[in-house]
Amino acid sequence: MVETNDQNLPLGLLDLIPNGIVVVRGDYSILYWNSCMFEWTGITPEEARGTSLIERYPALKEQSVFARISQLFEGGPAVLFSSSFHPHLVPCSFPDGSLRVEKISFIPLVHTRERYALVLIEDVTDLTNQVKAYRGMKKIAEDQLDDLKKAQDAIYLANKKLNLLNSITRHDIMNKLTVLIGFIELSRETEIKDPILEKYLDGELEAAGAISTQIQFTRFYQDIGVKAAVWQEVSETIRLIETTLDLRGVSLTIDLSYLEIFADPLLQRVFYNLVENSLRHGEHLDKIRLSFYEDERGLIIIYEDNGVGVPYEVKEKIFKREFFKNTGFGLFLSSEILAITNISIRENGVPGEGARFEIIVPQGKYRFSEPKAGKPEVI
Amino acid sequence: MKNIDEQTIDAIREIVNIGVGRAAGQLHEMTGSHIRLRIPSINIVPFTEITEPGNSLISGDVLSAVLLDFRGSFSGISAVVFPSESAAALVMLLTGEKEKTPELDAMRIEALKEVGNIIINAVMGSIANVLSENLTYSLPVYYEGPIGNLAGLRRRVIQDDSVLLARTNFLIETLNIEGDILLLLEIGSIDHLIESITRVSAR
Repeated sequence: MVETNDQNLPLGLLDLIPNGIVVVRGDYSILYWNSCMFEWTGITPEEARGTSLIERYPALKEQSVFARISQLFEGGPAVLFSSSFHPHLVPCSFPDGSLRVEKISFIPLVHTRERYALVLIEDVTDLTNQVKAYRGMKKIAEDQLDDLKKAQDAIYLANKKLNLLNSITRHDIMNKLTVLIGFIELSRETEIKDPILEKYLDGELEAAGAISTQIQFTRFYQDIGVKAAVWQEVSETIRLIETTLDLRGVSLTIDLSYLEIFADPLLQRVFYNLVENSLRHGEHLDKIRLSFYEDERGLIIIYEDNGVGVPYEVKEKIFKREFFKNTGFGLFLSSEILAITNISIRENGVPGEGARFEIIVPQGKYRFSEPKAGKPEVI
Repeated sequence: MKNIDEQTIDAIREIVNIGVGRAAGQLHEMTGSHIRLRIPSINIVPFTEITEPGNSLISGDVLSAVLLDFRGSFSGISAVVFPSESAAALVMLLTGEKEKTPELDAMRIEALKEVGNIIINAVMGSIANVLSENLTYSLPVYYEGPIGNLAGLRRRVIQDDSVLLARTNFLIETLNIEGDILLLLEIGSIDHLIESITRVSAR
C-alpha cells in the first residue's frame, strides 16, 4: 500500500513511467490518467478525468472482477490480474490497432485518510509472444523426442527379434554341423582307404570347420551396438583383460590414467583382441605398451608391442572380415565395435620392430576424470 | 517462549478458519471442485525452526509460493504454498492448457500469482473484517524453492525470535492438487490479536 501525507498527490512523476497508470477514487472516478495511457488509448487526461473507470471499461464491472477490486477500497491488499486470465481488461492498443496483452495491478493508495486505487497496466505483449514461441518449440522438441523414442523402441524390438532368429538359426546350423562333422569323422574311420575319397573327406571337414568358425563369429557380431554406448575408463577396461588372458610374462604398461572414452560396452573386447593378437603372432615379444597423445584429429591411443610386427601388405587387410583365416575375426570385430561411436583404428608399425595400432578418438568422445598427468601402470 | 492458553489458541484457530474457509470458497469457484480443508494447526515455534534447511514443515524441495507481508496492530506474513507439480497442474487447469510436461514459465507464474492473490486476499480480508482492524500490505511476491529459504527471505519482516504459525492444508479433490495456507504472526503482535479477538467475542 502506498501512503502519502502530501497535500497534493505527487502524480506528475508518473507521466515519466512507460506503463499505463490511472488513479481512481473510491467511486471509481478517474483522478489521474498518465501520458502512457493517452498514448495507448488515445484518450487525453482531460477527457478521462472525472469519468468512471468501470463505466469506460465494462469488463471491470463483471462480478468476479469487481468483487475483488472493491475489497481494496474496504482496506484489502493489492489485487492482481494476470495476462493469462485477463489479457485485455482495460483494452489498450498498438498504433496498428492490435491489442496489447496486459498485466494489471490495483494497488491501494491512501492520501489524507482517503483511499484511492493506483491502477498499474503493464504491457506484456512481447513477453507473452516469447513464452508462446518457447512453448511451441518445446512442443516440437517433445513430439520429436516421442517419435525418436518410438523409433528407438521399434529398432530395439526388431533387433531383439533378429537376434532371436539368429540364435535359433545358429543353434540349428551348429547342431546339423556337428552331425555332419560326426558323419565325416565316421566316414574317415571306415575301412575304405581310397586316397581320393580321403582327400574329399579332408576337404569336407575343412569346409565344415570354416562354416563353424563363421557361425561362431555371428554370435559375437550380433551383440555390437545392441546396448547404448557409455563412458568407460580405458585403463580400467584394459586391466580386466588380465583376469581372462594369460599374458605369459609379457609386461603390459598402461599410460592412460583417467582417460575415459565414449564407446560401445564391448570396448574391452577391442583391447582383448589386440593383446591376444600380439601374444599369438608377436613371436618374441615381451612388452606391450599403451599411451596417448592429442592432435587436431582428437585423441590418439597408441597400442604397441615389440613383436615381429605386421607386414606392409596386410596392414589394411587385417581389419577386413575376409582376412579371418589369418587373424580370426578379432580385428574386424574391434574395428566394428569402435565404429559405433565414430572411433577408428589403423596399424602403422614397422615390420620387424613390432605392431603399432592407433585408435583415433574424435573430439567429444573422450574426457579425463582427473588431471592428465599420471604414473604409468605396469602389470 | 511465550505461553498461550488453549482457549486463545482455539479463538485464533477459529479466526484463521473463517479466512481459510472463504479462500476455499474462492478456490471452489475457480476450479469447480470440492475443496477439502484440514483443521488449521496453530503452533508457537522459533523462527529459526522454520528457516532450518530440510525442516519438515512442508516437504518438497521445490515449492511455489505467493506471499504477502502485512503490518498493523498485528504483523506477519500470509502465504499460499504449493508443491511445484500441484502449482503447475492448478494453472494448467485454470487456463485450460494441455501439455505433457507442464512447467511454470513466466506467464504461468503470473497466473499463479493471481490465484495466490485471490486466496490470500480472501484470508486476510476476512480476518481484518472480523476483527475490524486496518492493516497495510506489501505487494504480493512469488517465490520458488524450499520452505526454509522462503521463510529465511522474509527475516526482515519477522523481527521476533518466535512466531505463531497457523497452517491449513487443503486438497482440491478429484484433481489431487494440494497446498497450504500459512499465516506467520510476530509473537509481539499476539497480544493485540488476542485483544481484538476478545473485543469481537464480547460483542
